[in-house]
Amino acid sequence: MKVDGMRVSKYIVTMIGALMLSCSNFTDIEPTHSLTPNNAFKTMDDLELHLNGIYSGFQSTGYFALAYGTLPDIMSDNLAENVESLGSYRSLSDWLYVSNDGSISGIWATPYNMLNDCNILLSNVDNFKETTAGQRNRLKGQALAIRAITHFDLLRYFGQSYDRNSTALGVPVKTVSNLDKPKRNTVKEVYDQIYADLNQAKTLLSGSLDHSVNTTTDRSRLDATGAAAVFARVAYYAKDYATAASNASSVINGGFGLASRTDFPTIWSADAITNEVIWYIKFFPGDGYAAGDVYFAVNNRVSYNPSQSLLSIYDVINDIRYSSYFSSSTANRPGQLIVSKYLGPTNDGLVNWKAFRVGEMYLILAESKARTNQEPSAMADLNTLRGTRILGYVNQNLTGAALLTAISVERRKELFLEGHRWFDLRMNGQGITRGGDCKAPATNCSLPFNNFRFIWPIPQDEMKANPNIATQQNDGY
Amino acid sequence: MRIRLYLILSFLFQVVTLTVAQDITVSGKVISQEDKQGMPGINIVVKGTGTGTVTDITGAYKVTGISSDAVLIFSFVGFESQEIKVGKRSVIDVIMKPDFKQLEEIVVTGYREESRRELPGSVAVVKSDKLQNSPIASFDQVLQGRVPGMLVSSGSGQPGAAANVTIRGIKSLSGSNGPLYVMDGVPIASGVFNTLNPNDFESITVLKDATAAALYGSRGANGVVVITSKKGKAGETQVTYNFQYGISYAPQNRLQVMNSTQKIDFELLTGGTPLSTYTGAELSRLKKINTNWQDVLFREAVTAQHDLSVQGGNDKTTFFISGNYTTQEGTVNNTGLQRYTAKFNLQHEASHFRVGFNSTLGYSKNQTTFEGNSYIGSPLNAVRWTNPYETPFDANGIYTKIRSGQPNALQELLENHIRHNDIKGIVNAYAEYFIPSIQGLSIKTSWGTDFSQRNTDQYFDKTTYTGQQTPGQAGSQTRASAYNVNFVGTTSVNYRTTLKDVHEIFASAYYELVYNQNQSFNFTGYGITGNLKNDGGITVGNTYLPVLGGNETSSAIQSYFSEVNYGYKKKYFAKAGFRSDASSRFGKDKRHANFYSLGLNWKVTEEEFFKNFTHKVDFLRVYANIGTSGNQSGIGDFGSLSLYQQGASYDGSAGIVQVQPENPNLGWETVRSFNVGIEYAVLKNRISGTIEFYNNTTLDMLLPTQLSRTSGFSSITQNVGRMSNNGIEIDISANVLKIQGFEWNVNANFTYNKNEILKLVDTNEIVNGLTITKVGYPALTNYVVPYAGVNPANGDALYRKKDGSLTNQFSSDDLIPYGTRFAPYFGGFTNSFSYKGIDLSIFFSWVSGNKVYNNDRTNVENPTYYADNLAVSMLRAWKQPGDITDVPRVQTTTGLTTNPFQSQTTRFIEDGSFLRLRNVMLSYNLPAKWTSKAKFRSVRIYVQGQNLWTWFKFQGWDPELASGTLTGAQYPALRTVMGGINIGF
Repeated sequence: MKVDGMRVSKYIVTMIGALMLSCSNFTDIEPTHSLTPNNAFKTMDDLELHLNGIYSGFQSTGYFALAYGTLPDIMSDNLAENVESLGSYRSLSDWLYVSNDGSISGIWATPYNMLNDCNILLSNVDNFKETTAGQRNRLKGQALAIRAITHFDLLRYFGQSYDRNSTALGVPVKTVSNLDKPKRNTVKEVYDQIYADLNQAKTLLSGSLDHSVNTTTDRSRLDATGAAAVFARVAYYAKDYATAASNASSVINGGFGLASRTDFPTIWSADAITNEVIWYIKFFPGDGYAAGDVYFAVNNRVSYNPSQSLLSIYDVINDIRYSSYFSSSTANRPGQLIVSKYLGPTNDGLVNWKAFRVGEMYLILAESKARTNQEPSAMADLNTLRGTRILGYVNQNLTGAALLTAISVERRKELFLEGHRWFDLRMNGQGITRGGDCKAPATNCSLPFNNFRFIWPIPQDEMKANPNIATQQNDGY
Repeated sequence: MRIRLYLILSFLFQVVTLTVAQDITVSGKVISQEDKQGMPGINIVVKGTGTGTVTDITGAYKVTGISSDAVLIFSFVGFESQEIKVGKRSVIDVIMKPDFKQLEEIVVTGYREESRRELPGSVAVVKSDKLQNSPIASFDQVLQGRVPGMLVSSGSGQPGAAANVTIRGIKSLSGSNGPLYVMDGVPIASGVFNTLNPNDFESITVLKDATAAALYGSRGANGVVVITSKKGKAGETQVTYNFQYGISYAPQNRLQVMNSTQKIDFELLTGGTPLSTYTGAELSRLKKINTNWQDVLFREAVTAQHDLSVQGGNDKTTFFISGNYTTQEGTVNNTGLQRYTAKFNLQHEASHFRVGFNSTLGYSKNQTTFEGNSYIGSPLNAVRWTNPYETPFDANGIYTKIRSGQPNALQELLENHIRHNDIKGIVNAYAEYFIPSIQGLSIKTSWGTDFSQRNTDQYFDKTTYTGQQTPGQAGSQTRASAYNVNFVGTTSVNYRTTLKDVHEIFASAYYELVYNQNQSFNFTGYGITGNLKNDGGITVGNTYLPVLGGNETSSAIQSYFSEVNYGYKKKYFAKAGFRSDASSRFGKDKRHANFYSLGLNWKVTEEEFFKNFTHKVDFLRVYANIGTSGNQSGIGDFGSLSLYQQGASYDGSAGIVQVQPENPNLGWETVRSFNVGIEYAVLKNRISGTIEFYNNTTLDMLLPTQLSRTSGFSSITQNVGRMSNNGIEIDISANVLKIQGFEWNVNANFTYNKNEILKLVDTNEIVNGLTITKVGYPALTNYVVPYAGVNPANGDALYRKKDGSLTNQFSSDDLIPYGTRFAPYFGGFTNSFSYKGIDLSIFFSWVSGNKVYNNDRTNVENPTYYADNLAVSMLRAWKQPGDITDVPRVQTTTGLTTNPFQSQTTRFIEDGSFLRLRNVMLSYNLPAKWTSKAKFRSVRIYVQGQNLWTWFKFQGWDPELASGTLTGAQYPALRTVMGGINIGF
């Protein structure tokens, strides 16, 4: 059979045309292993996953695995750098940071990253039907509590003041997920938002819930008690002592209490909750090590030892905290005392991060009372705490400055390596003076109390990206 | 290739009319000078008439009806044409000699072959002789210094490691800068070349501008590397076997660290390490131990290769089959590569059809070690860091526990392993139909796939540092499998015609679909507590939760494009291309993009007026082109979408977080290229070369536009920047000497590329750690504070402020742009000598003008790391007032330091220039009279040396760094000496 050329080419053109038509959707490809706004959240149950994702942010080095975990102690007089240190945070520990410091940049970004998801969740949570009545309260309450603590923690490092009604610069408040370039809000405005969120969180979480947020064996989430504990800490920083005291009391009186001397070590060695732990960040294998930057148990690497000035304030024999927090190293470094507080149940540093404990609530309560003319009651609270921790403790009766100093020393002893010391020193207007064990490889051993570095710089990358904040740098940078 | 040319050329004859009446018949045989075999497809034309014929499969021909004063012209591409007067002979046998000048004329620009001298684009060809038997497993590395405009740098000597390749400068800051690699019409995954056998390559063609790369325009912004594999040749079946064997060794180390005595004294000065408690006797014992950790980890390594190929066929069908086995040990213990490849190419043609099939299969086993990082678990870092008074084993033969907490490097190297198995298949089939009734019209469809799969097996033993850093501290076993499959289907309609004998037109219209899919899965198990040191030993339990993962993404491009080539009287040529592409990677509104190209070419020597000068200038052409090409690689398959991922889990439950904000305006990156060049040949073709000038401007350059971190994200990619690359490329070849069988040829190429940022968004600079991208400067310029030496009075490090004054306070305000990391000047040159079958070729490559950052030094010149070993230069540190030195004082006392060590300074920026004796090859072709006795077609024996010597200042093993910085753990380039034999049967 013969075919004439024109017919063949017509046939071919038709064939190609058909091929082209059939492929008109060829470049429409949707992701199969990631979610888009079309399919990420379809029911209220999907928001449970979103909330889990937000909680996982607390496990990062931008949060409790360094920034609001061990770093405030690394930067303080509580630790002394060891020669084995890899020096990863020396710009922070020796206060050499400038505005382009990479670690500070990450610590600024992490809470905002979590806030973005919080705000997306809060914008979605009213749009879905509850699977069981009370689910909305439970999800929304936790998201609001997280929105509060993330704003508060940003304020702690970057805010120019901690006072409740200060008009000094705080940090930008984010309540909507967008790509805006906000100015810094005043400290007061940041607190206003935090207070509003915490009040609402407490209300929602104490309201009717589909099921309780935490259980007797798992306190990995922020429930009503957790929100109150956060509120107590926030108000304590804000010098709003009435609010601080009422929230701290509500925690203590709400079924929580100090662990006994027998139970206290198990909080650290066995991740026990006892009655004392209000909220912890759960670390599973693979989630990292909360305090590995101080003592990395896995390799027996000591980056920091407890400082002599810290050790000297403990009653070494009778204070249960001393033996719970410190121990002699095993291999290679005989005679060294290391931080064993975070060795955890398997002795490898895999341990839950105790974000809020009743011990802190007692100290907040005591100081709030001491500063609001309730010194006997304050002293009683301090005696309760000390009596529970120290064998053979004899109640004392201190007043005035002596009482406040005692509470401050007790905070240092009780809350060692729980993310407080740097902020406590700043709040108390104390400079940092490291002792004789501050030596190489550390390069800087003192920081006067009024030094500008107590307030961190707004990171340079933020300043460059956000013209509205560019003129709002903290002093000295 | 020959067959295809034969078709094209014979077609040309068909359009010439046959008119002259004749009477003589001449016949004969045409044979090749090289192998004395008959040559099919030789064109024979009766001069001045257009009458002619071609030889048959045996090389025989017959011409009838010509006159006795006729002149026959015998021609074939790649061979010197011959004009022979018929006279009274009726039998004329002809021997064809290869013409190496002409050989380069045909280039593969993608789906088709073109004459390079007619093409108005910038094209460079590397022929197979440069690629054969190279002791480098990844062919991209072999191209270093071979191609003008192409900067090839490899930061690794790990066998099989791919190189970092840029053509005419980097053109993107967010997307990929590597060229598109195409093998036999199939785009192939870049960076996975250790499964390809360069001995199978006929040629590599580098397309450098929009006109040359028009057929790949939507992906051609970074240039295109077209690999053409060997096709069979008609004629007697040829079997070739090649064997080579050699030794590799590591280069000399230029960053010296302290010996035991130096280190112990230095360490004790500062104190605080375990040595402080040692007695004098213990210390003097330690001082006698002087472990050279380089010797502990490195070795002399063996490389061997067997290569067998068979080719043959007839005028209808040809084939090429090859198999190769290569083994290459790394110079670092426990590393190496083994490769198995196979190739089968088949072509067949019938009266109006042509079909072909090309396939490559490769399998490689690679064992590697950590490199390019500053991780203390990387054995290669231990060469710098581990104290010389430590030994790998203690007196009982057990791995020593290093005092400073460093891992034992030998233990890390020998007890752990990181292995990759790569499987690669490239298959392509095509069919072409020449429509009989319309002369010159053809339709072609070609479908191919590139499949690569990498299986990873990573084992960390429980006794090692790395193995203890795993959950449960008892080792880990990772298995990962990732595959990438790339489909391409191209269908074209082509029309070729000649109008009025002077207008040559070739036009094509194409429709192309490209689909790419990546799939991967991985698991890591922990608790390898028993005697099984593999997956079988994994424990699954509470402390040993395994990690599992899987992913899949796809992308697609749909393209319509056309190309028109026009030639007038073989003097003037024009080429125009236009295309429309859609990529799935962009948002609906930004998916489509159009690209164009236009080039003009003028063969000056073809002009009548030039004929008076052709005795001085043999060839001259001038060409220019302009066009656009696209880039969409390296930006992620779903870059425009708001994405959530379910990766973060909390408290044992799944978690979702947003990982990418919506970015609907993300679009194509476009490079506009402009190129002018001249090509010349003078002194009877003894000197020839090209000179090209180019300007490439990246328009709509994708940049990470910085976001306020309060948004939860740091940046979003937008088409907002502009960057230019201006350059000049010179390539020159000269036949220096040709006397009594001795020949000396020289080839040299030189490139200068100036990269400049023209526009950024919001801000004039983007700072990224140690580099800055700033308007008016090259991309990725070092960003450091000028180091001004040491104050002799107190030993403080001094820095130069922007106002020129000196300070001992390091400040980020004083950071300045300081030198580009990408070499602006580079090239290569070859001297080759031949005499009676002996060939010697000496090839150098070089780069110049780049400033590299030596992070490796910052870790051994930082005095706070004194618990581990330090550079010997630290002994020069300032000690007392008046000392003049370049190394600041070392803090030995407690107290406030106002002058801490700083790494972001010019102190650690070094000159990255080098001149490398890249390859020396000495070979000898045994005379035919000897080989024929042994029934061999040919025998060639050779010795070669790779990277035998390198001249450089950089303080390290090797100045060749893929990204302009040496982070640490450098695996230096191999120095290899090999001998081999090549036998043709």
